[in-house]
Amino acid sequence: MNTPIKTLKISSAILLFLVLSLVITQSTCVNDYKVIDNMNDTSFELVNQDSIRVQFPEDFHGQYVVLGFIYTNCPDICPLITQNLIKIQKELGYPANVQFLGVSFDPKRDTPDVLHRYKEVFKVNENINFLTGEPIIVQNFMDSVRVRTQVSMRTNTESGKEIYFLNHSDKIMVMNPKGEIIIEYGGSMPSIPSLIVQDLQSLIQ
Amino acid sequence: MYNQTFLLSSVSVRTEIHLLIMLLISIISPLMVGCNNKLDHSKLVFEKQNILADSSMDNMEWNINVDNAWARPTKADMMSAAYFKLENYGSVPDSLIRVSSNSSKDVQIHLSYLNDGIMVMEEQPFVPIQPTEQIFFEPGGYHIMIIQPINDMNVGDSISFLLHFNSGKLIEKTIQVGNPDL
Ligand SMILES: [Cu+2]
Repeated sequence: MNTPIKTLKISSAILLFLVLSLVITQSTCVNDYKVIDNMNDTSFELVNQDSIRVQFPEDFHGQYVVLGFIYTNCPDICPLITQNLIKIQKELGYPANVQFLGVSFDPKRDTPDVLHRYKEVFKVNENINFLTGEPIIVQNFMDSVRVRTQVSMRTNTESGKEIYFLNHSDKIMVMNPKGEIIIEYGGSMPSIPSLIVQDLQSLIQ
Repeated sequence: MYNQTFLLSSVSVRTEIHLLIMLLISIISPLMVGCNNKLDHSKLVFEKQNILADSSMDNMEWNINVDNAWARPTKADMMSAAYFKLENYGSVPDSLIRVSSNSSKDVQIHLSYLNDGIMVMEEQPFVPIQPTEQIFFEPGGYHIMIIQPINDMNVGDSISFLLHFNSGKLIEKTIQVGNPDL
């Protein structure tokens, strides 16, 4: 029934349509961000590196927020996430209308004081805040943005202190002025800042 | 669009129905994919070699080098990591089995990798290196973990490391604290 030529024609037609429809759907995607998480369902009382109370998301309504998730005892991946936040801010030209947050998922160890020192180490600009809070509140917050953590290694140091590390989601997110998370990225990859800068530039205009 | 009309008129009724179904699928499937802005980095899984390499042949040349070394700035009793390129110019395989340093009593060989969307960090008992092989200790992969350094590590400071190999060979290396990324 199906001669090789007919099959070839059908296949190429299908291919053509696949490509065409993909192009059409992708081109309509520009600026069309779906809401991933609406953060307005719950209000989280957090605290920044200067022990100033922060109410999330209300305090950030009307502004775009770039959110990274870190813990300060993380020597390898989290510095990349933090540096990506710094790079995005720099590439955007330190915009006053975009907030940058590094939220710790290790509130037991990451007290405001520790976060303050972390900020010093990375020579972070004033417009980037690091947040922590009561462990139960932080846990609920992480659940609401689907950031997962689990204790991995426990090591006893030479001085007898017990150290633990966390396996964790590697994410940076963008929240819109309505308090909705609209974009989610890998957090630590070197290619992330330019992607986020591109998206934010198209959103802000 | 021209191609499509032409094709439809030239095939039989049965294949026409066939074609219509396929077209429908081809239009719908990309729609279902939609605007996927999420990035999947799960491809980034490191292959782990679990064979401990050793250089037992004495007459063969042992020549392993450490290059491009740097360590991340930090404060005393926080965490840092050191990075470098390990390259085997010799003719014998070997394995890095331990690293010690004057910067901390607790220095470990670690590997970070993405596993099912979760960033995992694991201690490595050894890192084998074959002749001509290069192993990059770099952010997001292998690193030398410096747990709670004795002193603050500021940009420009030097710290020294001793790399212990399974063959018994040692490499001493002085590393600058700095941040090539920023
Ligand atoms: Cu590590």
